[in-house]
Amino acid sequence: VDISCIISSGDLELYVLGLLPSDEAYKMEQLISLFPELRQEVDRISETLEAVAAASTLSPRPSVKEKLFAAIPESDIMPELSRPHQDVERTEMTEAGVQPAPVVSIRQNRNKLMLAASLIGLVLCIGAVIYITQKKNNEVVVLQNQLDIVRRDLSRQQQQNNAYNQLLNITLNENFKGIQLESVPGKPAATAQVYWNKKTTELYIVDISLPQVPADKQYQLWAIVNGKPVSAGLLQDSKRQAQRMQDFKEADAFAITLEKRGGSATPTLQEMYVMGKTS
Amino acid sequence: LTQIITYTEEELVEKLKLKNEQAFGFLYDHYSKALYSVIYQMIPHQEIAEDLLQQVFLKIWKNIQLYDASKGRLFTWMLNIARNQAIDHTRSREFQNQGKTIPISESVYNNEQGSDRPIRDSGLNKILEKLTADNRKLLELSYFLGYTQEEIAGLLNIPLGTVKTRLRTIILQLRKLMELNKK
Repeated sequence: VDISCIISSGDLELYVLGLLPSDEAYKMEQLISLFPELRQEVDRISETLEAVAAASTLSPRPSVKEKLFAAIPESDIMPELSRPHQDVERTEMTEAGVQPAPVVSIRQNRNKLMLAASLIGLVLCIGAVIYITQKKNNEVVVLQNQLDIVRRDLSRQQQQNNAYNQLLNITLNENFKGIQLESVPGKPAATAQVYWNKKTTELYIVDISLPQVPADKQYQLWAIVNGKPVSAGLLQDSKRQAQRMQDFKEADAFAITLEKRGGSATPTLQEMYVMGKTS
Repeated sequence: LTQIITYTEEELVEKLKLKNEQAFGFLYDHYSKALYSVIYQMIPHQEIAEDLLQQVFLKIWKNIQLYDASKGRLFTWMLNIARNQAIDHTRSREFQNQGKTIPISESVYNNEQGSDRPIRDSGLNKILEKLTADNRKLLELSYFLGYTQEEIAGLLNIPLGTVKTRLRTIILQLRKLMELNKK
């Protein structure tokens, strides 16, 4: 076999490019494995073609590598048995002028997948926690509202209780004198009581039972001192248990009139509802 | 921190045959660009070319046991897988129907003025422009378009034997160019 003739024929080029018919390619394979010179030349042709292709400015996008590694069945991968021999000369790989690129292992990619999976899990967990918390929060809000209602009730009860206690204290205290105010003829039936402590000058109005008043009107208590009506204050509520009024040292009688809201300087006598004398 | 590992071709093949993932990562990093450019010249469509490249590497991974180092370099073996993959795709009906690129049978090489198919790759152009127009055409047909010897002879209107001798001349010329480039 004339080696140089084979080399110059161009058949080796066709062989490398895969352009030889299969029977000729088979023959060439045998020759190459027999003659190192041929093998050497085939390698040089291959290197040249590789270098031409590697001179390309085009590159696949990085996502291709990710997809590729994701497409490899996990069962296919064998664990690394030993580290590559760092001391072995590697001129062959660097000859083409290509810098060895950093190796991203498939395991790293799998770790990324694991990380992604656990992140998804974490997100779901957080979602569940938020959902449950939200639900619990709603329950808490409902309970809070119920508690508020109970508290308000309790506070009202306590106020009422206090008022009763106050009333009891007033009525049981012998220093307080109770004066019944009776309805004035021509007016609807109504009643109220005044408790007056002459020593301390404290004056309370209790057991008020007067007709409901329009929003622009208000009941006003008067003390008649030396024949003149003096305002003892406005009634907050026509149905209240007890309300402390203006102090009086002296009074001949007490009366309630219906006045404009905010009260009047002098009583409107036509609108007097109840009245009672102190003695 | 990324680890930089280099292998001799022998080591690389040995590790690939043991289905070593790191070696495969290295293989991809080292050869994906060259194989991609070969595929892309045949099928100038990024998505399809990338998809084919992925299939090529999967084939390499699955069939590495079939690689016989006594027959040639790893790149030669992979180059043929890549070219066959691209040719198969080009000839598939699916591809013809997609009409995304021109099938080989209707290639611009079939008509007179179409002889200068533009290669949209400045890196390749830089090398190929050093060749004569005829030689460049011959290289593109044989290397990047996967045409057979007979097809090339017919298209360039030259005797069959001339195809391979001219190819030989082109390779020698390129070798000199690449060596000059290296310096």
